Amino acid sequence: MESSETTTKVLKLKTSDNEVFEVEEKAALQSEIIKSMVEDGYGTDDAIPLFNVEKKTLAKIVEWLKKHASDASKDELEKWDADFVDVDTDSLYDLLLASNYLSVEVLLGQLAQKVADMIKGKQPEEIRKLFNIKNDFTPAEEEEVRKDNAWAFKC
Amino acid sequence: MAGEVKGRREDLNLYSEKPMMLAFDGGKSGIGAGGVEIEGLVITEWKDIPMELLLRIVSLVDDRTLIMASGVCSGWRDAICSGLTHLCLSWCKNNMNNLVLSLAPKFTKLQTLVLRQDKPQLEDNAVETIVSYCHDLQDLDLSKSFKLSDLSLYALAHGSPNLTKLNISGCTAFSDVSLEYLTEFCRKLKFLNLCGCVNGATDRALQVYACNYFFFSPSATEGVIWLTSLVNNLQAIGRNCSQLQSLNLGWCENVGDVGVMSLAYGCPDLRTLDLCGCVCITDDSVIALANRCPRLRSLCLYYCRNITDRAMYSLVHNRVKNKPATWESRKGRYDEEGLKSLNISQCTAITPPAVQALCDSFPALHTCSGRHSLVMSGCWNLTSVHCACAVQAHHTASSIPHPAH
Repeated sequence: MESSETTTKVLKLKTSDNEVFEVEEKAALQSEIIKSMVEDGYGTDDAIPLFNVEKKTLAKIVEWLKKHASDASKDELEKWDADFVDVDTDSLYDLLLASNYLSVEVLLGQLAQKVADMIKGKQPEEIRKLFNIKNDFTPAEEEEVRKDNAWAFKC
Repeated sequence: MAGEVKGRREDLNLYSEKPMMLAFDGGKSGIGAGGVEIEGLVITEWKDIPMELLLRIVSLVDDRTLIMASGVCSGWRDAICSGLTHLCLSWCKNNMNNLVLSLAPKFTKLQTLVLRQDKPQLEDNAVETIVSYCHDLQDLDLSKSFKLSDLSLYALAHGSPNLTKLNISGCTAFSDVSLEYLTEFCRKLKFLNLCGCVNGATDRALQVYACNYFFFSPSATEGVIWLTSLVNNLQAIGRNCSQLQSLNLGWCENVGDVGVMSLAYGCPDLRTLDLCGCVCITDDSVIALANRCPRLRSLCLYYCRNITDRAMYSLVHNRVKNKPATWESRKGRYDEEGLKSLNISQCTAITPPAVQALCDSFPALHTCSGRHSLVMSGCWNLTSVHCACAVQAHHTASSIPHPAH
Protein backbone atom coordinates (compact mmCIF):
# COMPACT_ATOMS: atom_id res chain seq x y z
CA MET A 1 0.00 0.00 0.00
CA GLU A 2 2.75 2.36 0.95
CA SER A 3 4.54 2.04 -2.35
CA SER A 4 1.37 2.77 -4.32
CA GLU A 5 0.84 5.92 -2.26
CA THR A 6 4.28 7.20 -3.06
CA THR A 7 3.95 6.57 -6.82
CA THR A 8 0.51 8.19 -7.10
CA LYS A 9 1.30 11.80 -7.75
CA VAL A 10 -1.42 14.34 -7.18
CA LEU A 11 -1.63 17.63 -9.08
CA LYS A 12 -3.39 20.72 -7.84
CA LEU A 13 -5.47 22.62 -10.37
CA LYS A 14 -6.60 26.16 -9.57
CA THR A 15 -9.64 27.66 -11.28
CA SER A 16 -10.17 31.27 -12.35
CA ASP A 17 -12.27 31.74 -9.22
CA ASN A 18 -9.46 30.41 -7.04
CA GLU A 19 -10.83 26.99 -6.21
CA VAL A 20 -8.19 24.26 -5.99
CA PHE A 21 -8.89 20.72 -7.19
CA GLU A 22 -6.64 17.79 -6.41
CA VAL A 23 -6.39 15.28 -9.22
CA GLU A 24 -4.19 12.25 -9.70
CA GLU A 25 -1.55 12.97 -12.28
CA LYS A 26 -2.61 10.03 -14.42
CA ALA A 27 -6.10 11.50 -14.74
CA ALA A 28 -4.98 15.10 -15.16
CA LEU A 29 -2.51 14.32 -17.93
CA GLN A 30 -5.39 13.46 -20.27
CA SER A 31 -5.39 17.22 -20.74
CA GLU A 32 -2.70 18.14 -23.24
CA ILE A 33 -2.38 21.62 -21.80
CA ILE A 34 -1.81 20.31 -18.26
CA LYS A 35 0.61 17.77 -19.67
CA SER A 36 2.68 20.40 -21.42
CA MET A 37 2.62 22.62 -18.35
CA VAL A 38 3.84 19.75 -16.18
CA GLU A 39 6.57 19.14 -18.72
CA ASP A 40 7.46 22.82 -18.43
CA GLY A 41 7.92 22.37 -14.70
CA TYR A 42 4.58 23.53 -13.32
CA GLY A 43 2.64 21.74 -10.64
CA THR A 44 5.52 20.32 -8.63
CA ASP A 45 4.66 22.26 -5.49
CA ASP A 46 2.18 25.04 -6.24
CA ALA A 47 -1.16 24.67 -7.99
CA ILE A 48 -1.47 24.89 -11.77
CA PRO A 49 -3.53 27.98 -12.53
CA LEU A 50 -6.25 27.49 -15.14
CA PHE A 51 -7.37 31.02 -15.87
CA ASN A 52 -10.08 30.09 -18.32
CA VAL A 53 -12.03 27.56 -16.30
CA GLU A 54 -14.43 28.19 -13.44
CA LYS A 55 -15.07 26.03 -10.39
CA LYS A 56 -18.38 24.67 -11.62
CA THR A 57 -16.99 23.58 -14.98
CA LEU A 58 -13.69 22.23 -13.70
CA ALA A 59 -15.56 20.11 -11.16
CA LYS A 60 -17.37 18.42 -14.05
CA ILE A 61 -14.21 18.04 -16.08
CA VAL A 62 -12.29 16.58 -13.16
CA GLU A 63 -15.14 14.11 -12.71
CA TRP A 64 -14.72 13.07 -16.36
CA LEU A 65 -10.94 12.85 -16.11
CA LYS A 66 -11.18 10.61 -13.04
CA LYS A 67 -13.77 8.35 -14.62
CA HIS A 68 -11.69 7.95 -17.77
CA ALA A 69 -8.57 7.17 -15.78
CA SER A 70 -10.41 4.48 -13.82
CA ASP A 71 -10.78 0.88 -14.90
CA ALA A 72 -14.44 1.21 -15.82
CA SER A 73 -15.59 -1.19 -18.52
CA LYS A 74 -16.24 0.05 -22.05
CA ASP A 75 -19.99 -0.43 -21.73
CA GLU A 76 -20.14 1.29 -18.38
CA LEU A 77 -18.09 4.20 -19.69
CA GLU A 78 -20.31 4.59 -22.73
CA LYS A 79 -23.41 4.93 -20.61
CA TRP A 80 -21.66 7.20 -18.16
CA ASP A 81 -20.45 9.46 -20.99
CA ALA A 82 -23.96 9.74 -22.43
CA ASP A 83 -25.24 10.92 -19.05
CA PHE A 84 -22.29 13.22 -18.63
CA VAL A 85 -22.98 15.27 -21.77
CA ASP A 86 -26.72 15.38 -21.05
CA VAL A 87 -26.70 18.84 -19.50
CA ASP A 88 -28.32 22.23 -20.13
CA THR A 89 -26.98 24.24 -23.07
CA ASP A 90 -25.14 26.78 -20.90
CA SER A 91 -23.20 24.06 -19.11
CA LEU A 92 -22.60 22.34 -22.44
CA TYR A 93 -21.05 25.52 -23.81
CA ASP A 94 -18.80 25.94 -20.77
CA LEU A 95 -17.69 22.32 -20.99
CA LEU A 96 -17.04 22.65 -24.71
CA LEU A 97 -14.85 25.70 -24.27
CA ALA A 98 -13.09 24.31 -21.23
CA SER A 99 -12.30 20.97 -22.85
CA ASN A 100 -11.01 22.86 -25.87
CA TYR A 101 -8.85 25.10 -23.69
CA LEU A 102 -7.56 22.13 -21.70
CA SER A 103 -7.16 20.07 -24.88
CA VAL A 104 -8.98 16.98 -23.67
CA GLU A 105 -9.48 15.59 -27.14
CA VAL A 106 -11.79 12.66 -26.33
CA LEU A 107 -14.12 14.78 -24.23
CA LEU A 108 -14.12 17.55 -26.83
CA GLY A 109 -15.15 14.98 -29.43
CA GLN A 110 -18.01 13.75 -27.24
CA LEU A 111 -19.27 17.25 -26.58
CA ALA A 112 -19.05 18.26 -30.25
CA GLN A 113 -21.01 15.13 -31.15
CA LYS A 114 -23.64 16.01 -28.55
CA VAL A 115 -24.10 19.49 -30.04
CA ALA A 116 -24.14 18.05 -33.57
CA ASP A 117 -26.89 15.61 -32.55
CA MET A 118 -28.87 18.48 -31.07
CA ILE A 119 -28.85 20.60 -34.23
CA LYS A 120 -29.29 17.80 -36.77
CA GLY A 121 -32.31 18.32 -38.98
CA LYS A 122 -33.29 21.61 -37.32
CA GLN A 123 -34.19 24.93 -38.92
CA PRO A 124 -32.24 28.09 -38.00
CA GLU A 125 -35.07 29.36 -35.81
CA GLU A 126 -35.12 26.11 -33.85
CA ILE A 127 -31.36 26.24 -33.37
CA ARG A 128 -31.60 29.86 -32.17
CA LYS A 129 -34.23 28.89 -29.64
CA LEU A 130 -32.22 25.89 -28.46
CA PHE A 131 -29.07 27.91 -27.79
CA ASN A 132 -30.67 31.24 -26.96
CA ILE A 133 -29.11 33.00 -29.93
CA LYS A 134 -30.49 36.30 -31.15
CA ASN A 135 -31.27 36.64 -34.85
CA ASP A 136 -29.00 39.55 -35.80
CA PHE A 137 -29.52 39.47 -39.57
CA THR A 138 -30.65 42.52 -41.52
CA PRO A 139 -34.00 42.10 -43.30
CA ALA A 140 -32.15 41.57 -46.59
CA GLU A 141 -29.90 38.89 -45.08
CA GLU A 142 -32.88 37.31 -43.43
CA GLU A 143 -34.62 37.07 -46.80
CA GLU A 144 -31.56 35.35 -48.27
CA VAL A 145 -31.47 32.84 -45.41
CA ARG A 146 -35.15 32.16 -45.89
CA LYS A 147 -34.60 31.43 -49.59
CA ASP A 148 -31.67 29.09 -48.93
CA ASN A 149 -33.74 27.20 -46.42
CA ALA A 150 -36.66 26.88 -48.77
CA TRP A 151 -34.41 25.52 -51.54
CA ALA A 152 -32.62 23.19 -49.20
CA PHE A 153 -35.85 21.81 -47.79
CA LYS A 154 -37.80 21.53 -51.02
CA CYS A 155 -35.12 19.26 -52.34
CA MET B 1 11.93 34.37 -7.05
CA ALA B 2 9.33 37.04 -7.72
CA GLY B 3 10.74 37.47 -11.22
CA GLU B 4 10.44 33.77 -11.84
CA VAL B 5 6.83 33.72 -10.78
CA LYS B 6 6.11 36.69 -13.03
CA GLY B 7 7.71 34.89 -15.93
CA ARG B 8 5.53 31.92 -15.32
CA ARG B 9 2.42 34.04 -15.25
CA GLU B 10 3.26 35.41 -18.67
CA ASP B 11 3.74 31.91 -20.00
CA LEU B 12 0.40 30.95 -18.63
CA ASN B 13 -1.23 33.93 -20.23
CA LEU B 14 0.03 32.62 -23.53
CA TYR B 15 -1.71 29.36 -22.81
CA SER B 16 -4.87 31.08 -21.75
CA GLU B 17 -5.00 33.33 -24.78
CA LYS B 18 -5.09 30.49 -27.25
CA PRO B 19 -8.85 29.91 -27.35
CA MET B 20 -9.60 33.59 -27.03
CA MET B 21 -7.81 34.50 -30.23
CA LEU B 22 -10.03 32.11 -32.10
CA ALA B 23 -13.24 33.69 -30.86
CA PHE B 24 -14.99 36.10 -33.21
CA ASP B 25 -14.70 39.09 -30.94
CA GLY B 26 -10.95 38.54 -30.90
CA GLY B 27 -10.98 38.42 -27.11
CA LYS B 28 -11.85 42.07 -26.82
CA SER B 29 -13.31 41.71 -23.35
CA GLY B 30 -11.92 40.14 -20.23
CA ILE B 31 -13.36 36.71 -20.57
CA GLY B 32 -13.57 33.82 -18.17
CA ALA B 33 -14.57 30.42 -19.46
CA GLY B 34 -15.36 31.94 -22.83
CA GLY B 35 -18.30 34.01 -21.64
CA VAL B 36 -18.81 37.74 -21.75
CA GLU B 37 -18.27 39.37 -18.41
CA ILE B 38 -20.76 42.04 -17.50
CA GLU B 39 -20.26 43.49 -14.04
CA GLY B 40 -19.06 40.23 -12.58
CA LEU B 41 -21.85 38.21 -14.17
CA VAL B 42 -20.60 35.72 -16.73
CA ILE B 43 -22.94 34.99 -19.59
CA THR B 44 -22.11 32.22 -21.99
CA GLU B 45 -22.86 33.05 -25.58
CA TRP B 46 -23.36 30.37 -28.17
CA LYS B 47 -23.27 33.03 -30.86
CA ASP B 48 -19.62 33.64 -29.99
CA ILE B 49 -18.54 30.03 -30.16
CA PRO B 50 -14.96 29.88 -31.48
CA MET B 51 -14.83 29.20 -35.19
CA GLU B 52 -12.77 26.02 -34.87
CA LEU B 53 -15.32 24.54 -32.48
CA LEU B 54 -18.29 25.43 -34.66
CA LEU B 55 -16.55 23.97 -37.72
CA ARG B 56 -15.81 20.83 -35.79
CA ILE B 57 -19.45 20.50 -34.80
CA VAL B 58 -20.85 21.12 -38.28
CA SER B 59 -18.38 18.62 -39.72
CA LEU B 60 -20.45 16.04 -37.82
CA VAL B 61 -23.81 16.96 -39.34
CA ASP B 62 -25.29 16.50 -42.81
CA ASP B 63 -24.83 19.23 -45.39
CA ARG B 64 -28.44 20.39 -45.16
CA THR B 65 -28.12 21.02 -41.42
CA LEU B 66 -24.84 22.76 -42.17
CA ILE B 67 -26.66 25.22 -44.42
CA MET B 68 -29.25 25.72 -41.68
CA ALA B 69 -26.50 26.40 -39.15
CA SER B 70 -25.05 29.09 -41.43
CA GLY B 71 -28.43 30.84 -41.19
CA VAL B 72 -28.56 31.01 -37.40
CA CYS B 73 -26.79 34.34 -36.85
CA SER B 74 -24.12 36.47 -38.48
CA GLY B 75 -21.40 34.97 -36.26
CA TRP B 76 -22.20 31.40 -37.23
CA ARG B 77 -22.64 32.43 -40.87
CA ASP B 78 -19.26 34.16 -41.00
CA ALA B 79 -17.50 31.26 -39.29
CA ILE B 80 -18.99 28.63 -41.55
CA CYS B 81 -18.58 30.69 -44.71
CA SER B 82 -14.95 31.46 -44.05
CA GLY B 83 -14.03 28.02 -42.78
CA LEU B 84 -15.96 25.50 -44.81
CA THR B 85 -13.84 23.65 -47.35
CA HIS B 86 -16.03 20.70 -48.29
CA LEU B 87 -19.64 20.69 -49.44
CA CYS B 88 -21.86 18.09 -51.04
CA LEU B 89 -25.26 19.02 -52.48
CA SER B 90 -26.00 15.72 -54.18
CA TRP B 91 -29.00 15.22 -51.88
CA CYS B 92 -30.64 18.16 -53.61
CA LYS B 93 -33.24 16.82 -55.98
CA ASN B 94 -34.92 19.95 -57.34
CA ASN B 95 -33.21 23.21 -56.48
CA MET B 96 -29.52 22.50 -56.75
CA ASN B 97 -29.01 25.26 -59.28
CA ASN B 98 -30.61 27.93 -57.09
CA LEU B 99 -28.82 26.70 -54.03
CA VAL B 100 -25.45 26.82 -55.78
CA LEU B 101 -26.16 30.32 -57.10
CA SER B 102 -26.91 31.42 -53.55
CA LEU B 103 -24.24 29.51 -51.62
CA ALA B 104 -21.19 29.77 -53.88
CA PRO B 105 -20.75 33.54 -53.31
CA LYS B 106 -20.77 32.87 -49.54
CA PHE B 107 -18.76 29.66 -49.22
CA THR B 108 -15.71 31.09 -50.93
CA LYS B 109 -13.16 28.82 -49.27
CA LEU B 110 -14.55 25.63 -50.75
CA GLN B 111 -11.95 23.20 -51.96
CA THR B 112 -14.21 20.24 -52.61
CA LEU B 113 -17.67 20.55 -54.11
CA VAL B 114 -19.78 17.52 -54.95
CA LEU B 115 -22.74 18.24 -57.24
CA ARG B 116 -23.58 14.82 -58.54
CA GLN B 117 -27.15 14.66 -59.85
CA ASP B 118 -29.64 11.97 -60.59
CA LYS B 119 -32.04 14.41 -62.14
CA PRO B 120 -30.21 17.06 -64.19
CA GLN B 121 -30.47 20.46 -62.51
CA LEU B 122 -27.21 22.34 -62.82
CA GLU B 123 -26.95 24.97 -65.51
CA ASP B 124 -23.95 26.86 -66.81
CA ASN B 125 -24.64 29.92 -64.65
CA ALA B 126 -24.08 27.81 -61.52
CA VAL B 127 -20.66 26.65 -62.68
CA GLU B 128 -19.78 30.22 -63.68
CA THR B 129 -20.77 31.44 -60.20
CA ILE B 130 -18.70 28.73 -58.54
CA VAL B 131 -15.72 29.71 -60.65
CA SER B 132 -16.06 33.42 -59.89
CA TYR B 133 -16.21 32.98 -56.12
CA CYS B 134 -14.51 29.74 -55.10
CA HIS B 135 -10.93 30.32 -56.09
CA ASP B 136 -9.52 27.53 -53.94
CA LEU B 137 -11.53 24.85 -55.67
CA GLN B 138 -9.52 21.67 -56.21
CA ASP B 139 -12.05 18.88 -56.44
CA LEU B 140 -15.26 19.25 -58.41
CA ASP B 141 -17.81 16.55 -59.11
CA LEU B 142 -20.30 17.53 -61.82
CA SER B 143 -21.24 14.02 -62.81
CA LYS B 144 -24.47 13.58 -64.71
CA SER B 145 -24.93 17.28 -65.39
CA PHE B 146 -26.70 16.77 -68.69
CA LYS B 147 -27.68 20.41 -68.92
CA LEU B 148 -24.17 21.82 -68.78
CA SER B 149 -22.68 23.08 -72.03
CA ASP B 150 -19.19 24.00 -73.16
CA LEU B 151 -19.58 27.34 -71.38
CA SER B 152 -19.03 25.52 -68.08
CA LEU B 153 -15.76 24.00 -69.21
CA TYR B 154 -14.56 27.35 -70.55
CA ALA B 155 -15.42 28.95 -67.21
CA LEU B 156 -13.49 26.27 -65.33
CA ALA B 157 -10.56 26.62 -67.72
CA HIS B 158 -10.33 30.34 -67.08
CA GLY B 159 -11.17 30.49 -63.40
CA SER B 160 -10.10 27.27 -61.70
CA PRO B 161 -6.41 26.73 -62.40
CA ASN B 162 -5.99 24.74 -59.18
CA LEU B 163 -8.35 21.93 -60.08
CA THR B 164 -6.73 18.59 -59.39
CA LYS B 165 -9.83 16.44 -59.59
CA LEU B 166 -12.71 16.74 -62.00
CA ASN B 167 -15.57 14.35 -62.52
CA ILE B 168 -17.67 15.11 -65.59
CA SER B 169 -18.83 11.60 -66.21
CA GLY B 170 -22.06 11.65 -68.10
CA CYS B 171 -21.85 15.31 -69.10
CA THR B 172 -22.62 14.46 -72.68
CA ALA B 173 -22.93 17.96 -74.06
CA PHE B 174 -19.29 18.91 -73.73
CA SER B 175 -17.43 19.13 -77.02
CA ASP B 176 -13.95 17.85 -77.63
CA VAL B 177 -12.78 21.42 -78.24
CA SER B 178 -13.87 22.60 -74.81
CA LEU B 179 -12.33 19.61 -73.07
CA GLU B 180 -9.07 20.20 -74.86
CA TYR B 181 -9.29 23.85 -73.87
CA LEU B 182 -9.83 22.88 -70.23
CA THR B 183 -6.76 20.68 -70.17
CA GLU B 184 -4.68 23.51 -71.57
CA PHE B 185 -5.46 25.68 -68.54
CA CYS B 186 -6.06 23.23 -65.71
CA ARG B 187 -2.58 21.80 -65.76
CA LYS B 188 -2.73 20.44 -62.23
CA LEU B 189 -5.41 17.86 -63.02
CA LYS B 190 -4.55 14.54 -61.49
CA PHE B 191 -7.93 12.79 -61.55
CA LEU B 192 -10.23 13.05 -64.50
CA ASN B 193 -13.42 11.06 -64.89
CA LEU B 194 -14.88 11.06 -68.39
CA CYS B 195 -16.80 7.85 -67.95
CA GLY B 196 -20.10 7.38 -69.63
CA CYS B 197 -19.51 9.10 -72.91
CA VAL B 198 -21.46 6.41 -74.66
CA ASN B 199 -23.09 6.71 -78.01
CA GLY B 200 -26.53 5.95 -76.80
CA ALA B 201 -27.04 2.32 -77.76
CA THR B 202 -29.48 0.98 -75.22
CA ASP B 203 -28.15 -2.57 -75.26
CA ARG B 204 -25.03 -1.23 -73.60
CA ALA B 205 -26.95 -0.67 -70.40
CA LEU B 206 -26.36 -4.12 -69.03
CA GLN B 207 -22.67 -3.97 -69.78
CA VAL B 208 -22.40 -0.62 -68.08
CA TYR B 209 -24.03 -1.91 -64.96
CA ALA B 210 -21.92 -5.03 -65.13
CA CYS B 211 -18.89 -2.80 -65.04
CA ASN B 212 -20.22 -1.08 -61.96
CA TYR B 213 -20.95 2.29 -63.40
CA PHE B 214 -24.08 4.01 -62.34
CA PHE B 215 -24.38 6.08 -65.42
CA PHE B 216 -26.10 5.26 -68.62
CA SER B 217 -27.99 7.55 -70.90
CA PRO B 218 -30.11 5.93 -73.58
CA SER B 219 -30.57 9.24 -75.33
CA ALA B 220 -27.08 10.59 -75.22
CA THR B 221 -26.74 11.04 -78.92
CA GLU B 222 -24.78 14.25 -78.47
CA GLY B 223 -22.06 12.14 -76.97
CA VAL B 224 -21.25 10.80 -80.38
CA ILE B 225 -20.25 14.21 -81.62
CA TRP B 226 -17.87 14.59 -78.74
CA LEU B 227 -16.43 11.16 -79.21
CA THR B 228 -15.75 11.37 -82.90
CA SER B 229 -12.53 13.15 -82.13
CA LEU B 230 -11.78 11.94 -78.65
CA VAL B 231 -8.50 10.67 -80.01
CA ASN B 232 -7.48 14.28 -80.43
CA ASN B 233 -8.69 14.91 -76.94
CA LEU B 234 -6.46 12.28 -75.44
CA GLN B 235 -3.57 13.78 -77.29
CA ALA B 236 -4.47 17.11 -75.72
CA ILE B 237 -4.70 15.53 -72.27
CA GLY B 238 -1.40 13.76 -72.84
CA ARG B 239 0.19 16.99 -73.98
CA ASN B 240 -1.20 19.21 -71.24
CA CYS B 241 -1.87 17.14 -68.15
CA SER B 242 1.51 15.65 -67.41
CA GLN B 243 0.53 15.30 -63.74
CA LEU B 244 -2.54 13.21 -64.46
CA GLN B 245 -2.79 10.22 -62.12
CA SER B 246 -6.25 8.89 -62.69
CA LEU B 247 -8.40 8.80 -65.80
CA ASN B 248 -11.70 7.12 -66.42
CA LEU B 249 -12.60 6.57 -70.06
CA GLY B 250 -15.25 3.96 -69.46
CA TRP B 251 -17.35 3.30 -72.56
CA CYS B 252 -15.64 5.97 -74.60
CA GLU B 253 -15.84 3.67 -77.55
CA ASN B 254 -14.03 5.85 -80.01
CA VAL B 255 -10.88 5.82 -77.94
CA GLY B 256 -8.21 3.99 -79.90
CA ASP B 257 -4.56 3.08 -79.62
CA VAL B 258 -3.40 6.49 -80.83
CA GLY B 259 -5.20 8.17 -77.97
CA VAL B 260 -4.07 5.77 -75.25
CA MET B 261 -0.50 5.86 -76.52
CA SER B 262 -0.58 9.67 -76.40
CA LEU B 263 -1.70 9.37 -72.82
CA ALA B 264 0.97 6.85 -71.92
CA TYR B 265 3.67 9.05 -73.36
CA GLY B 266 2.31 12.30 -71.96
CA CYS B 267 1.24 11.23 -68.48
CA PRO B 268 4.07 9.15 -66.97
CA ASP B 269 2.57 9.49 -63.49
CA LEU B 270 -0.64 7.70 -64.46
CA ARG B 271 -1.72 5.34 -61.66
CA THR B 272 -5.31 4.47 -62.41
CA LEU B 273 -6.76 4.01 -65.88
CA ASP B 274 -10.18 2.73 -66.72
CA LEU B 275 -10.54 1.64 -70.34
CA CYS B 276 -13.58 -0.48 -69.73
CA GLY B 277 -15.61 -0.83 -72.90
CA CYS B 278 -13.03 0.93 -75.06
CA VAL B 279 -13.56 -1.76 -77.65
CA CYS B 280 -11.19 -0.35 -80.28
CA ILE B 281 -7.97 -0.53 -78.29
CA THR B 282 -5.45 -3.31 -78.93
CA ASP B 283 -2.28 -4.67 -77.31
CA ASP B 284 -0.39 -1.60 -78.51
CA SER B 285 -2.22 0.51 -75.93
CA VAL B 286 -1.28 -1.79 -73.05
CA ILE B 287 2.30 -2.13 -74.28
CA ALA B 288 2.67 1.66 -74.33
CA LEU B 289 1.24 1.86 -70.80
CA ALA B 290 3.54 -0.92 -69.59
CA ASN B 291 6.57 0.84 -71.08
CA ARG B 292 5.76 4.39 -70.14
CA CYS B 293 3.73 4.36 -66.93
CA PRO B 294 5.77 2.57 -64.27
CA ARG B 295 3.46 3.74 -61.49
CA LEU B 296 0.34 2.20 -62.99
CA ARG B 297 -1.46 0.43 -60.15
CA SER B 298 -4.94 -0.09 -61.46
CA LEU B 299 -6.02 -0.95 -64.98
CA CYS B 300 -9.46 -1.90 -66.21
CA LEU B 301 -9.67 -3.56 -69.60
CA TYR B 302 -13.16 -4.91 -69.24
CA TYR B 303 -14.62 -5.89 -72.60
CA CYS B 304 -11.48 -4.82 -74.51
CA ARG B 305 -11.73 -7.90 -76.64
CA ASN B 306 -8.74 -7.20 -78.86
CA ILE B 307 -6.38 -7.63 -75.91
CA THR B 308 -4.20 -10.76 -76.14
CA ASP B 309 -1.33 -12.46 -74.32
CA ARG B 310 1.08 -9.98 -75.90
CA ALA B 311 -0.33 -7.25 -73.67
CA MET B 312 -0.06 -9.46 -70.57
CA TYR B 313 3.55 -10.37 -71.30
CA SER B 314 4.48 -6.72 -71.89
CA LEU B 315 3.27 -5.94 -68.36
CA VAL B 316 5.27 -8.92 -67.02
CA HIS B 317 8.45 -7.95 -68.88
CA ASN B 318 8.35 -4.39 -67.71
CA ARG B 319 7.84 -5.63 -64.20
CA VAL B 320 10.89 -7.87 -64.43
CA LYS B 321 12.90 -5.05 -66.01
CA ASN B 322 12.08 -2.65 -63.18
CA LYS B 323 12.52 -5.23 -60.46
CA PRO B 324 14.95 -4.24 -57.69
CA ALA B 325 18.14 -6.27 -57.63
CA THR B 326 18.00 -7.74 -54.15
CA TRP B 327 15.33 -9.78 -52.48
CA GLU B 328 15.39 -7.59 -49.41
CA SER B 329 14.49 -4.42 -51.24
CA ARG B 330 12.08 -6.34 -53.41
CA LYS B 331 10.18 -7.59 -50.42
CA GLY B 332 9.71 -4.12 -48.97
CA ARG B 333 8.77 -2.43 -52.18
CA TYR B 334 6.53 -5.04 -53.66
CA ASP B 335 3.47 -3.98 -51.80
CA GLU B 336 3.91 -0.36 -52.76
CA GLU B 337 4.60 -0.77 -56.43
CA GLY B 338 3.21 -2.46 -59.48
CA LEU B 339 -0.29 -3.43 -60.48
CA LYS B 340 -2.60 -4.13 -57.59
CA SER B 341 -5.81 -4.15 -59.56
CA LEU B 342 -6.49 -5.49 -63.02
CA ASN B 343 -9.77 -6.24 -64.70
CA ILE B 344 -9.61 -8.41 -67.82
CA SER B 345 -13.19 -9.62 -67.70
CA GLN B 346 -14.56 -10.56 -71.10
CA CYS B 347 -11.08 -10.36 -72.66
CA THR B 348 -11.63 -13.82 -74.04
CA ALA B 349 -8.52 -13.99 -76.23
CA ILE B 350 -6.13 -14.15 -73.26
CA THR B 351 -4.75 -17.59 -72.26
CA PRO B 352 -3.95 -19.03 -68.80
CA PRO B 353 -0.11 -19.10 -69.02
CA ALA B 354 0.05 -15.37 -69.79
CA VAL B 355 -2.27 -14.46 -66.91
CA GLN B 356 -0.46 -16.82 -64.54
CA ALA B 357 2.86 -15.18 -65.43
CA LEU B 358 1.26 -11.84 -64.68
CA CYS B 359 -0.12 -13.09 -61.39
CA ASP B 360 3.32 -14.36 -60.39
CA SER B 361 5.00 -11.07 -61.26
CA PHE B 362 2.56 -8.90 -59.36
CA PRO B 363 2.00 -10.37 -55.88
CA ALA B 364 -0.59 -7.71 -55.10
CA LEU B 365 -2.89 -9.22 -57.72
CA HIS B 366 -5.15 -11.71 -56.04
CA THR B 367 -7.64 -14.23 -57.31
CA CYS B 368 -8.47 -15.62 -53.89
CA SER B 369 -11.85 -15.02 -52.36
CA GLY B 370 -12.25 -11.82 -50.44
CA ARG B 371 -9.55 -9.97 -52.35
CA HIS B 372 -10.16 -10.46 -56.05
CA SER B 373 -7.94 -7.73 -57.36
CA LEU B 374 -7.45 -9.70 -60.56
CA VAL B 375 -10.91 -9.81 -62.04
CA MET B 376 -11.54 -12.10 -64.99
CA SER B 377 -15.20 -12.93 -65.00
CA GLY B 378 -16.50 -14.28 -68.26
CA CYS B 379 -13.11 -15.76 -69.16
CA TRP B 380 -13.96 -19.40 -68.62
CA ASN B 381 -10.63 -20.65 -69.93
CA LEU B 382 -8.80 -18.74 -67.17
CA THR B 383 -10.29 -20.59 -64.22
CA SER B 384 -6.99 -22.41 -63.68
CA VAL B 385 -5.14 -19.19 -62.82
CA HIS B 386 -4.49 -18.66 -59.12
CA CYS B 387 -2.60 -16.17 -56.99
CA ALA B 388 0.15 -17.20 -54.61
CA CYS B 389 -2.22 -17.40 -51.63
CA ALA B 390 -4.00 -20.41 -53.09
CA VAL B 391 -0.75 -22.09 -54.10
CA GLN B 392 0.88 -21.52 -50.73
CA ALA B 393 -1.67 -23.80 -49.17
CA HIS B 394 0.08 -26.64 -50.99
CA HIS B 395 3.69 -25.51 -51.26
CA THR B 396 6.23 -24.16 -48.84
CA ALA B 397 6.18 -20.42 -48.46
CA SER B 398 9.58 -19.93 -50.06
CA SER B 399 8.88 -21.67 -53.34
CA ILE B 400 7.97 -19.61 -56.34
CA PRO B 401 4.37 -20.24 -57.20
CA HIS B 402 3.64 -22.25 -60.28
CA PRO B 403 0.54 -22.37 -62.39
CA ALA B 404 -1.96 -24.49 -60.56
CA HIS B 405 -3.87 -27.20 -62.29
